[in-house]
Amino acid sequence: MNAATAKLGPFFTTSEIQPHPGKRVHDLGIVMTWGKPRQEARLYHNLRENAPKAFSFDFVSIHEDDAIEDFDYQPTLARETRYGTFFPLSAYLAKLYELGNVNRNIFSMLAELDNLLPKERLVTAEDDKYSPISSKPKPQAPADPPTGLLATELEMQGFRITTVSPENGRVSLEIDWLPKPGGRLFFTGILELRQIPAGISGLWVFPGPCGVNHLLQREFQKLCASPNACLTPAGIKHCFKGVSTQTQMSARHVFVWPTICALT
Amino acid sequence: MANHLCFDITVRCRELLASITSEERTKLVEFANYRLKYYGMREHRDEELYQDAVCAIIRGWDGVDGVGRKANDWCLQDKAHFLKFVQGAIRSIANGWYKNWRSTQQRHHVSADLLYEMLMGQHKGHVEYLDLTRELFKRLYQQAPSRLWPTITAWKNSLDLTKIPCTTSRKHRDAVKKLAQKILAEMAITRSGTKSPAWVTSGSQAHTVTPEATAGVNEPFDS
Repeated sequence: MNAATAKLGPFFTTSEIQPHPGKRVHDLGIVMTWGKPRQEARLYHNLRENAPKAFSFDFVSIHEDDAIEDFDYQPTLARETRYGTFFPLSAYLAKLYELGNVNRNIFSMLAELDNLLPKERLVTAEDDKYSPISSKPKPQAPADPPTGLLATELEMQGFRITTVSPENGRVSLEIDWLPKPGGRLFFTGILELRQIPAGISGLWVFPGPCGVNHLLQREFQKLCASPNACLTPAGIKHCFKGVSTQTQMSARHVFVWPTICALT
Repeated sequence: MANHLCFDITVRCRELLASITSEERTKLVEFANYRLKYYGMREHRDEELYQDAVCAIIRGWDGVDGVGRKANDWCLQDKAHFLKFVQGAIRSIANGWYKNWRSTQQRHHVSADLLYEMLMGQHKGHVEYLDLTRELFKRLYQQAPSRLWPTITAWKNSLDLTKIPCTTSRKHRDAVKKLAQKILAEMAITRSGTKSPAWVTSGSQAHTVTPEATAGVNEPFDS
């Protein structure tokens, strides 16, 4: 068997919705297939107790019997039922790519998944049934984040800055990947930047949750040589508005991308 | 007496939670946002983190050990202390979201997929079940190297044959699983068509779904 064909996938197809395995785990009617001989896994939605209407990619799960490899996951995103445990898909996808069991372009894979999954709906203040005060719902993030802030090659690939938080001479940027205009935002990471006379230094704030964001961070770093090159002049002006330039650089900050350490 | 105290705490907690103003709530959500950013997690989950903290406090009212966040006298002195208590819950949950990594490796058994599907539908005393297990273990002992025998023996003696116990090492357990699958395939007992999970009964209704239709599956459930 050709080694390349043995690693085909993962691909996602719709199928028949099967009975839900539990009140808080719903079948999504989507099947993920990969490899040769073909492996497959059904996708489920792990509903949150306090916000069952919310939907997030982080809570898309697979059943333990479909996971053929051991992998790290966040227990808060998993659900134990009498039929076994449902693990977060994102962590499993990251493991499949890490082991080299699949070879499909990460962006194509996530774009296909975005098309098939229900629309993203974050937990909002409207879901807060316990709060007796009628607080105003928090305004939602704009569907399409602003462009022209990240370097051209990054924006062409779909990376966007969704949140800018200046603080103590540095700025934290939430980087997401947008498969298409109006599509869901796949979390890539929080990038902390500091402006110094020699340019911009920065690093990713912790590795974040284990999942496809690690793969996206790697792709981001491939497209952009260093933290100094990831923002356009307009982006620098926008992000560092009101942030004082610091002459002292944090020991953690570097001019080249740091190696992302695996969590132990 | 203990029940009275618990009731008092619940009432006081409820009062204080009800007294949180919009501004204070916004500050708490901002605090949640800060914690998420600190741990390198998606900031848009701040509202979710705040609501999880409130849920944990409400669960703590029930007084069941190990469930929720339990308020004490210090937290209920006044509103300022109670807000600190909510902040503590937010901090604790954010920490849990980030730090409590777990690996599927920590699970001490794996399911033997083929066997699971075949055995679930049959009664343990059924003659076909007995024949199948007898033949499977006979062939396993014949084909497996001696280092796998303790795992096979433990599996044979276990009450739940759908799970292979981990006695010596995970490597051995996985090797036994692979060998069992190979033997079952040799016995011409293979999967027919698409695999159905255990909770799907043969008579259940399934229907075709489109991407648009899946948008409605996450309806609120009756709890």
